[in-house]
Amino acid sequence: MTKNNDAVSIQDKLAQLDALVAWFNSDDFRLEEASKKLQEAKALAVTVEHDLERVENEVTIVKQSFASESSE
Amino acid sequence: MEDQAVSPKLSVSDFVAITNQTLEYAYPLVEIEGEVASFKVNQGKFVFFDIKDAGASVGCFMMLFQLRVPIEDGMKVIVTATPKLTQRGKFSLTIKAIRPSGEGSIKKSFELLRAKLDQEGLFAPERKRSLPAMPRHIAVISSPQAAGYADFMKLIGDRWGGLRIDVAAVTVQGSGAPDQIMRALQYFNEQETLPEVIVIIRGGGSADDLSAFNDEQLVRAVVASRIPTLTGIGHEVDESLTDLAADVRAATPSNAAQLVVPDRQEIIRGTALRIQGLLPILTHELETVRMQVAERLGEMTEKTQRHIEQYRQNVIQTRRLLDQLDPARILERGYALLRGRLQPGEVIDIETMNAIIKARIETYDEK
Repeated sequence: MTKNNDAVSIQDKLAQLDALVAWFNSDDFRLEEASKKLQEAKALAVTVEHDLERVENEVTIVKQSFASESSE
Repeated sequence: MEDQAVSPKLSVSDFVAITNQTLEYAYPLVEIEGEVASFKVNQGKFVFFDIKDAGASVGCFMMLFQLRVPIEDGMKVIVTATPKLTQRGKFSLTIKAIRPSGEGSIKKSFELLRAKLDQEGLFAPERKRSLPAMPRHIAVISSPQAAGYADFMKLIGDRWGGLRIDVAAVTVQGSGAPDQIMRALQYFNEQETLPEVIVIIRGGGSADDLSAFNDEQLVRAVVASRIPTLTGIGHEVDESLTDLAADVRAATPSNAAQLVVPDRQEIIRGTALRIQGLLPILTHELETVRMQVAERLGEMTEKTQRHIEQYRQNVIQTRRLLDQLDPARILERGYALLRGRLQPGEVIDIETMNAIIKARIETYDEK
């Protein structure tokens, strides 16, 4: 099973992607940098897709019994 | 003598105690269905009523805190109780649990409790919290054997990954269900690392099956949870008080899975669309720059052509001037060019347009 850190990484990557997309619509946009940024965004999108396709959930059944208050 | 051996002489207290022992052995716990009559609460903590049918009636006693749903006269109920003979010799049922029975009573009890809790503001929209958009850690309270749980977990797995899911296995039906769910809520609320959302899941069932989710204490526990709550209980039409108290109510367990995590395929599609959306921006910017360059080139070409034309005109004018100054043009107009010494007797050359003539000067006078 894949570690939970991958999920963190996916969210970080999505945040980076958000920032890159926002850059294209911002006043900071420079044509000289645009091609590089676009390549970065494309690479991130591929990574996000790859991560999303392979990451699984980690399910744990709580050991404690809830049948009665005295139960462990 | 024989009679004395079969019928021992007992004190009244002993008789009551032995009777209670016998009852306890024969009926440790009984479930009885009947109609409530003469319902009353004494001193704000003791509840008395009779449970009856067409042929009989039995007195009942319970503590007010055990009363988890509103009860009133005429309501059909199922009581879980132990029969007991009191010190005064009165037979009664000590109630452990009571729940409405039959569609009419369940509905009546539901409406009474709903009105009470609504008045307290427990269902107010302003106290609802939103769920995290992309949680990393969720808690699930459900019965892992239930179909609703399986639907929920399958859809969660299909939709999202990398999620930590802690599952509290509880019963989701019957008189013990509210307490178990409350304990699970408390458990998750006391963890050092809190889940970001608690999801309470239960598949469909009859009104009686789902009545556990109309328990007053459970509703209050859901409201008190410091972790946002999401419910996916029964079908869309089954609205429980727990649903009303939760921060978000899903129509079904599957819908709860849709609400609690995003769909990875949608994210992938959305990401691809966003990248595609960048290309027109880039193309537009490139086109803008291209047009600016073309515009400047056009201006430069126009200016250059203007200069060339001006030079061309200058050259034409100069050439015209030169043409006018050309002696051949003057000769063409009938004039002649004289070469030689201008003195009487001298021979000079006279050049016309068509000939060169030699001539002798006879006289020469100044004008």
